[in-house]
Amino acid sequence: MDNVLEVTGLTTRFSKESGTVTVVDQLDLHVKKGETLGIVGESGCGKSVTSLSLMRLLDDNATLTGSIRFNGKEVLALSEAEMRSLRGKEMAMIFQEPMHSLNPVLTIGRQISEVLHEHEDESKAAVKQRVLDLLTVVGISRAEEIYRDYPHRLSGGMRQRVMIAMAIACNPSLLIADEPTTALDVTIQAQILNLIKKIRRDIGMSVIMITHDLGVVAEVCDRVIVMYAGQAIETADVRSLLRNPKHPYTVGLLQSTPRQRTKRLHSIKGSVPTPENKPNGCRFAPRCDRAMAICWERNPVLRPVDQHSSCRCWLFTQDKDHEQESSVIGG
Amino acid sequence: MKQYLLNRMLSGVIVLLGISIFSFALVHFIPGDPVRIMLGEKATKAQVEQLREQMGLNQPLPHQYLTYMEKAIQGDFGTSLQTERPVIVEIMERFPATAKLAFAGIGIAVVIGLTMGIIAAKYKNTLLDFMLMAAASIGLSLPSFWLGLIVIMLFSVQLGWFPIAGGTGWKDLILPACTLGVLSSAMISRLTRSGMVEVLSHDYIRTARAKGLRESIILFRHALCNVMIPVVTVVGLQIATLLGGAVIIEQVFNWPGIGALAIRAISARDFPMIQGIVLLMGFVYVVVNMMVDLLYGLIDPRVDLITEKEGR
Amino acid sequence: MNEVSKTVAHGATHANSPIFPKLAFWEKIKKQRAAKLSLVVLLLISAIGIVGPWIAPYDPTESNYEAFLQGPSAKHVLGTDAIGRDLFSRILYGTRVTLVVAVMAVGITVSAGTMIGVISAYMGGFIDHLLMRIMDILLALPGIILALAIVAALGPSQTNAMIAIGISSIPSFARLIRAATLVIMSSGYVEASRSIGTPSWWIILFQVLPNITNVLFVYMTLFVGGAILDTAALGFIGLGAQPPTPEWGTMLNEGKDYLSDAWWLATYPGLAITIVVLAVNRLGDALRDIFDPRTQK
Repeated sequence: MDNVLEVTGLTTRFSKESGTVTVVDQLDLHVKKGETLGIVGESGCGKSVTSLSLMRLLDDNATLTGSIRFNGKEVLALSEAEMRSLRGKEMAMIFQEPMHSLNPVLTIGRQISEVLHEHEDESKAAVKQRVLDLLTVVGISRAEEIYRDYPHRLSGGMRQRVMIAMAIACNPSLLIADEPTTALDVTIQAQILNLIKKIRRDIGMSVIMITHDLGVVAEVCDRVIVMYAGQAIETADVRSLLRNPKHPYTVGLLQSTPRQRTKRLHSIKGSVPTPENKPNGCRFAPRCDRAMAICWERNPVLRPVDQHSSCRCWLFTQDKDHEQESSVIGG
Repeated sequence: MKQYLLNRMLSGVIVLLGISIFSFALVHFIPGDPVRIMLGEKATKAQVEQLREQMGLNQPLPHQYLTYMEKAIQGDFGTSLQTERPVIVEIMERFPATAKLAFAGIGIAVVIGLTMGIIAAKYKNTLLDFMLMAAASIGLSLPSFWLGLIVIMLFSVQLGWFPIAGGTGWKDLILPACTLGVLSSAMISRLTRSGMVEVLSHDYIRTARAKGLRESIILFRHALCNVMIPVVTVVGLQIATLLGGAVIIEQVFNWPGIGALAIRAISARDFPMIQGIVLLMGFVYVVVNMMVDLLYGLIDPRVDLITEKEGR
Repeated sequence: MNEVSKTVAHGATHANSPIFPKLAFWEKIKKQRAAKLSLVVLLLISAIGIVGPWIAPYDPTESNYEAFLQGPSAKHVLGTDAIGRDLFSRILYGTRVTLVVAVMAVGITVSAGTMIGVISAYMGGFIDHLLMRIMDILLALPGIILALAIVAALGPSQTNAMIAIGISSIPSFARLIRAATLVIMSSGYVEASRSIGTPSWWIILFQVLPNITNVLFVYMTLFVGGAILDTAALGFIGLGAQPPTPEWGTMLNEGKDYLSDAWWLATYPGLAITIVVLAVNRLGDALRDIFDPRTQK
């Protein structure tokens, strides 16, 4: 088995006073051993909820359906206790805001060592030594000092390093990084990305990198899923996606990334529809320059376009199907 | 940290000064001639003049205040008009009983309040939560002295488990301390619940879950430590209210503390005694708050940062 | 397309919501069953406060030497006290006493507290600092001790208890109003008015006050419960309403000497206090949930 994670038909619904909203809709994805998968999209497209769904960290009002197979186990069928022994040990996560992700009243040392105490049966002294080693691994030089320090005394980059140390403490096979560099300065961003790349190589873990930044994708990912309004709309290996994007939304995303050569920055008009107000047809149609009649009527499915990529768009749907759909509208 | 404590101490001293002015001014709020009112209608003119002289009420106001303060700092709060003993002696005889009652009450309040608040937050929006918070609502609406009377009727008169009232032993302490504690726990449990609900929604709790920690560790290590920060602050503020509540409760259980002394002094319009008690209450408040600030500094490592911000 | 434009329009209305949202008051309160119930209870109690003297079966101060310490019976629904007065009638009469004292006391708190709070927030600087320092100092004394000290100066009586309770809550009320006013002060329209030279009294009267009415109303309700409890407490320790006035706290004080012989004397007046305070507090909590944007989820 070469896939660490295989997700099929993952659907996440939240029950609210006003009714049920579907935030992640029939998502399929897989991550190979040692691979980095990027999940890209604007804020509100469901990528963070996807990551929390994988860890089953959502509130009680969320229901998950579909299948999440992780290292051969069906995650959705695990008991809460079994799930707990998975989290932090085999599957770890780092978050966007290193500012708020660390507990302000506990020392760094304590926050890292409690992962080891929870999942591994080692003496206090051994755990402390491992925490100091981990701090060194993530590039913190004064490990002894930081061990005793509190989060508010560290910079954002340092805090994210601490989060990474915490996540890799038990050598997990999958690391989910939810916008790990968004809140950081540009120079620090590169350092953190390089650190994640290095650790992935060293301990051979897989990574799911959730980001809205195609620069980050280009830097660290092997394959990419582009999400829009809760659905995957394009999946491709990173080269084809960046060189030859298919879906108009992906094209728009690439054009709105600042590069030196393009003088004027493109922007996609409008914003992601909220889960309560999804269009009936293609969810991107209201913002799409190339929308056709059919786009307003029916939502296309994700189909392979060539050997490198799949896309959810009527533009890339075979002519035959297209005609069929058109005739439906015409009639 | 040092700077922080220094700031707190300074504001404590200011509060004490203010209270001393208030208690000094109390005599001057009295409509009519205070000396005449203190001594009653039957007093002779000579007696009135003598007391006026003794209390220094014929001097100019600032001079009076300075004399009053000078004596107060040396521990001389004047002489009780009723018993003709020094105020400080009377107060010191009574204070330990009140302190014992108040601290036992706080202990009970904190234990019950925290437990209820944590459970309610953990089982948010369930029937259990609803029932606990309904109990807290009722607790906030019960007159303390009435609960005291009911408790006496039930446990002392009907069941005979506790002595009716009047002693100062440990057995006599249980009922009044529980009455006081149960009522004060209502406020603490509400606060703990809302604080806990808020803390549980923070990112670092999600981090703790993502680490695969046990629910008990998340609740007691990660959440409770953070909830304690606002709770300690409010418990500190509540201590003043609790002391006030103790005054009333003492009356119900015939507890020989400051409360009974104060009520007797007010009925007899024994002003030196009233002034002494007001000053003492203010002093206790300031001391307790300094202790809370110290505790606050121990719980929250960010205190040094907060003072830096305030200083700016 | 319609869907999208609808969303946009919806978003626009949200951006205009005022700092303290003025909601369709009755609509909201109808939704809250607890609030509705407490409102009904309060209206009932107020009605009793008004018509109590007419529906009371006996004179509350008239002693009947043939009916000492009688338990609840058909003749005396809640029993009689040590000198044969009908407890039920005394509680009915006491409703008025309690409500009047509590409402007057809160009236004192609200008028003085609002004045201090608004002036403090509006003037800022030295005056704000001075006023708030004084409030802090008074807050250092437990409310009931402050009230006792004032009663001590004025002399024990029902009116003085009322004044003392009213004054003792001013510091905390003023602090709350100051905070609410500061929020209004930082809004654009007050700054705009100030910059074009609108007189202060105009701003305070027509811009600040109307905008803090909601908050004021909520806090006022929340203070009434405390005032009732304090009134009864002062009565209970003999420094409030004086016998033979049928005040609930005073009645409990009289009843406390007969705990083993006449349980009803120490039970029913306290029950009356609890019901009224509970109703007022529930209403206050509900109003706060409705008006205070911070507690909304």
